[in-house]
Amino acid sequence: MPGMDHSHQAAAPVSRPRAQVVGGFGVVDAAVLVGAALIRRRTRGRRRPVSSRSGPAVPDRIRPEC
Amino acid sequence: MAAPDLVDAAPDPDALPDDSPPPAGRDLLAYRPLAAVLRSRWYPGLLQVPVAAVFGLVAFELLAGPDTAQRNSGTALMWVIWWPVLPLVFVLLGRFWCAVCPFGVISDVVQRLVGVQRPVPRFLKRYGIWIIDAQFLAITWSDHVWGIVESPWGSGVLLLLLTTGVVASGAFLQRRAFCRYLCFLGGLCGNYGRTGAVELRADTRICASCTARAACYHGTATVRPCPLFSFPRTMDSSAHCSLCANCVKACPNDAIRIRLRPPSRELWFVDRPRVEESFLAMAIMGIVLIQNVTMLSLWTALLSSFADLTGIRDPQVVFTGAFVVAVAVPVGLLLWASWVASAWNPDGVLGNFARFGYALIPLDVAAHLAHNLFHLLSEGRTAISARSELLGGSPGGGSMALAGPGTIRVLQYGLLALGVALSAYTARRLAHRRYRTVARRRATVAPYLVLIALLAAVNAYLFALPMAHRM
Repeated sequence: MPGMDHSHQAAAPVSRPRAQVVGGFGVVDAAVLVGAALIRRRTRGRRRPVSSRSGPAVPDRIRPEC
Repeated sequence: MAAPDLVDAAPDPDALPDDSPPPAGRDLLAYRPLAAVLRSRWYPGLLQVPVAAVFGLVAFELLAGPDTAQRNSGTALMWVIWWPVLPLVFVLLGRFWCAVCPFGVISDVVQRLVGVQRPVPRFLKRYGIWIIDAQFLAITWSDHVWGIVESPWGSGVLLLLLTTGVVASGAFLQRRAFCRYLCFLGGLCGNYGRTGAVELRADTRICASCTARAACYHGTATVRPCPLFSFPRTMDSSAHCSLCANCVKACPNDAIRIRLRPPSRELWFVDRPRVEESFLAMAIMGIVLIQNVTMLSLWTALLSSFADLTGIRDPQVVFTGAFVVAVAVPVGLLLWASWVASAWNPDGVLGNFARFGYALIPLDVAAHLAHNLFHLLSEGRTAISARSELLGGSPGGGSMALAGPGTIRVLQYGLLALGVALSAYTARRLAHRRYRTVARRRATVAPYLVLIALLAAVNAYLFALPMAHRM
């Protein structure tokens, strides 16, 4: 691509700010997982009404055509 | 010629009935070995494992490997091998990539561990495709401004962002909601997948007497539901089918058929055209054009001429302006063609825009493939070189090309010609299906043929100019 640096550089170790960014993503992902686990635990056993279930509008039982 | 209204007119009294032809081609599930593979509990899991392993290696290399794109095997695997080959997979197998995509696997694992399984919000169902359109534009723009492709770290951060989105979606929403409604690559897959040579459909005659309560959609005790929320019984598009074969396993009546079809055949029978999908097709065309332009040696000269003329010296500001123009021009041209066509048929500008935008998809795919082919064939050895360096070998010198410039150009023009032919044929089929009179069909198709020729000519001209490498 234009303006691209074609010079060769030595492999650099992961710098501290980079580790912080990766760690930041890890923390956010972990927080999401923990939040979802808590909600799931709280709502376990609760049955959702049929109207809120996603899916095609098909009757529960379709009788074979005569 | 008076300017037609932007609102759709009343239905055309001359319109032909919407009768899609019966499916053609032999059912691939009639081949026992293939049927056994697709019905196996190991499919597609066994394919997901190696893909996820390579993805893990790529992610690690991008985040912790060499800073230079040329020496980073993650960048080479991602942008020189995977990205150029991906549209080819769409043409051959439709959205099959989504069946083995590591992000889908992450979503499934998160869902099993902590999934709350909330229904997909209505706004996502309605406007998800617009979010995908916006994401696609934003990612392409930021690639140029922040250099995602040529920066391993930038590519790594993009993967981290996507992973966070997938984790959140898998944790809170049902099935693969992210893949269906939010993934920009999924949107691209969906659009290009319509040109795919494989289609999965249900035999509706068998479905009419089914008593299995939509097991193909809801899944069974042992088979997971359709991850992309598609109901085979009413499915008329491959845009949201990843060939994961869950429905094949769940259907108790063996009503699912997988057939080969001519590439782009699905586009000839679009029944429910959507403006946002046509917009995405044209936006992708604009993105391919601007990608070509910025890789030309001419681009630097253009930047300095523009700076002399206007005093604006910031290349990012100039690129942003060029990007907006590049995306707006194909969309504007399709609007213009639709405006002309709407004077000769009763469908209105937006109605024509939505319907005939699909005719541009084959040209889109061809231009994208031709652009990517340049990178694959002129830089393909970079991946081999970076991989050997990763394993402790020497990077090796010499050319990074897998084919000569002449060969690459011939292949590019061949692809473009195929795209033009398929797009023109699709426009013709759409008009023939929609309108009864010959005069109306011809008048409707004419502006779209002009548009196809114009876009093909621009692409052909850009391919003739010397282009910079990605790595």
